[in-house]
Amino acid sequence: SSSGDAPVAGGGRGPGSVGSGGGAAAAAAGRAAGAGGAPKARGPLTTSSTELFAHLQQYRPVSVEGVLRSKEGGSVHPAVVALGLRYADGSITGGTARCVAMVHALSQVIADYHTPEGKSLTRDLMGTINSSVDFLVRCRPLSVSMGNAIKALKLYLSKIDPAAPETAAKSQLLSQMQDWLNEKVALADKVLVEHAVSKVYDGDVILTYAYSQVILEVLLSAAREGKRFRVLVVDSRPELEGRQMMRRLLQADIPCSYAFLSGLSYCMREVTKVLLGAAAVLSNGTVLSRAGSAAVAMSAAASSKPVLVCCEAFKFHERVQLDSITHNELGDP
Amino acid sequence: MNLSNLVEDYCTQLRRRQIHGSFACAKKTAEVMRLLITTQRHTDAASLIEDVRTVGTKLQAAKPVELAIGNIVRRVLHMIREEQQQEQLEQSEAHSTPDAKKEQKGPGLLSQAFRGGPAARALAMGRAVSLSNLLDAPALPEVSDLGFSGSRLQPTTSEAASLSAGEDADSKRSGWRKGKAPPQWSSKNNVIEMLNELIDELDGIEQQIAQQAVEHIHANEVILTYGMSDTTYDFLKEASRKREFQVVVAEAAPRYDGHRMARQLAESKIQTTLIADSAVFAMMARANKVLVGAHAVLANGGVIAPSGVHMVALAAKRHSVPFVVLVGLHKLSPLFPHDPDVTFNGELVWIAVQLQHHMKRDNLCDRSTVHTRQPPVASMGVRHPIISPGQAAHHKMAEIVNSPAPQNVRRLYTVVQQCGRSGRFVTGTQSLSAYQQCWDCVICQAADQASTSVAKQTSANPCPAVLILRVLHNRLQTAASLLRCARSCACWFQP
Repeated sequence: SSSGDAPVAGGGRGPGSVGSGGGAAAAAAGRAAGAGGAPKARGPLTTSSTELFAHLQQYRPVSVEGVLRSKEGGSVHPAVVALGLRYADGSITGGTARCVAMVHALSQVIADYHTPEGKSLTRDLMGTINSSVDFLVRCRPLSVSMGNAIKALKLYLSKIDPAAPETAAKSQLLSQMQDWLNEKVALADKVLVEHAVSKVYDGDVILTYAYSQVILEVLLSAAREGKRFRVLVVDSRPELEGRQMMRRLLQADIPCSYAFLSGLSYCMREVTKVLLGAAAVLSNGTVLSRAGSAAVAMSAAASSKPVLVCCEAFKFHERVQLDSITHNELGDP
Repeated sequence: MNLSNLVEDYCTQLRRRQIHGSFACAKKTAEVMRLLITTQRHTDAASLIEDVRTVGTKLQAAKPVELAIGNIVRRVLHMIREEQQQEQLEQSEAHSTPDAKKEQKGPGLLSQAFRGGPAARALAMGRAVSLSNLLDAPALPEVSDLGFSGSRLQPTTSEAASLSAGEDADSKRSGWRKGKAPPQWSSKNNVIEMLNELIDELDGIEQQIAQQAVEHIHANEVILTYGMSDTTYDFLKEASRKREFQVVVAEAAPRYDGHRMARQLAESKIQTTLIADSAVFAMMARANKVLVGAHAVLANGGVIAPSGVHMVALAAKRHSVPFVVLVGLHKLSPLFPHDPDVTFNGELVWIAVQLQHHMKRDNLCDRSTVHTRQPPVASMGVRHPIISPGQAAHHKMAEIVNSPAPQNVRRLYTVVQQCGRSGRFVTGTQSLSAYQQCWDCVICQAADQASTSVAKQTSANPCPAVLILRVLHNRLQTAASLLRCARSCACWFQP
């Protein structure tokens, strides 16, 4: 059932919880689910959010049966269906991971695509891709990285020669997307990691927040180069992604500590630098990241610690965001 | 019931954390003090003060993190000393000649006030020191020297302040001692009366704070709060009777008190939203004000609050959202954050000394900054010690402390001096007794070496205690405050 945008009546209402993301510097676009709701609500617990978030896409629970029974579930490629479900239940999170997974799924769609009789490849394929993307959006709103990938794909698609045979066109498109991935993601990561590792000194105490693929690679690479440092992983509810980060770091024998976001100001004194990953960087310098990164960055600024944000170029976007409420994602209350 | 048994029971309850909240502790402390004053016999103010200090030290030591206990005991001591001064004032007026009185009035009203002249004292009786009557009140050093912390500080004395009446009081007291059954100190009833007033005031605290709710919360506001605080809850409940507003509560990990607060608010029919700590920054953009409770308010305006409030305060500052801390009078403490009595995080963290080679080994000298913020205290401007959790440091520290041989103390002194010069201190965790031993060693050694240079701000061969104090009170520029520090330091030298 779809939830309406009706503002909630004041008074007599059980404690509803709303998910909203707080991000670095001004705004957020991480997956941020609401905090543990009200298990024993007195009043009627509504699924609609408060007036403050009425402009955002409301949360709709996505389940396998619901998807399979729906109209879109039948017409969309199974790889995309699987991907959408993985987004919805949180198996795939993180800007880079979601983008890469989506490009792979769309590559699958392209590979399995056959032009129907009497239709042009570009237009029809565009329609297929659009419907796939719509399905993904319904499962979970697009991230900036995904949006940029789709833009690139559509650009390549529009440049395909209409006279070219289907197989050639498809292979060209697939190789272009693969090149895009290699250049924008893999190569960019490599250069980024190389540059960031040069900033890690011996004796450093590096603070990192929740889970970030790039930061993990930076730290693993620095450890491989033999630098002596230790890491303080700061984590917060409800995702508790920091545990995953910690596990991966410990596997590489990097000394780690773990703290909650509320204990941040206590931990900040022994920290020498802060490394943050980003989901997006906007044109006014705003960094979008996991909910709570802003608190980490603020705390670091208050203690005069340097904050380094590592973000690949494919996550840049030209829009401007002023605070966390304007663009965000609502999670499960 | 036996007073010592009652005190022991109370201490046990505190140690076992069976008493929850500053208010309960403060109330219980006030009642214990009242019982002490009413049931025990005291011939004069000094013995009463001594008794109160002993019991107060014991109570505070049972739960060092609860500053409200100390605050209440200090208030009681202040009452007793006020009465003592008033008494001495009356005696001096009775004994002094008109010429002496004229002489005392000679210097002028302001200096008289600072010296605690009779006119000023009469004015100041019964009124708390505040901006409005600052120039009337007796000198601030007297008020703040009421520290009784530990056994290290001797009472700086109102005896020192009113020199003229001192001998008269002594003679009167000795006259009393000659009698068979020494009568009770006459002003005790006044003290008991003031203490009753204090207890009544404590009872009415929540209500008084809540009464101001309506003027601070307005229509359709979004109030952000953090975790659970009874004061805040009462405040919001009172406001909700007249205003429509909504509250956003941040669950305060790891205790998740916010859940309880949200449920209570919802049961009071206030529109509530519960958010995770990570979402505080996002919601701050839409909040109109932030209301939190605090554990204690320190003398420099710093606030000791549940962990995570610092983050909320930073976010509020960034968004220019008014940040309101609701505290009752029992939480106002005259201590500073660097004070060894102020313990954070429920365990004892204070200034210990790390040997220099350890500092060099861990590369802490070069890397750590000096101007850092204290944990949960959002205080400004005081140069804070740095925490370095070096295990080796603790062991070394324990070694030094447990064997206060002269060379160890000298080593300690050297390092303290060097640390003091560079303005950096390193803290670790140790037991209170070990710390006390350490400081006693240092101070005794220093006492042997330098006796007269205590009050002078010489850089040639500064007394280590003054050096330490100078570093700690880095921002205190006035001579008066340094003198105050030095005076309290001088008290350490007295046996």
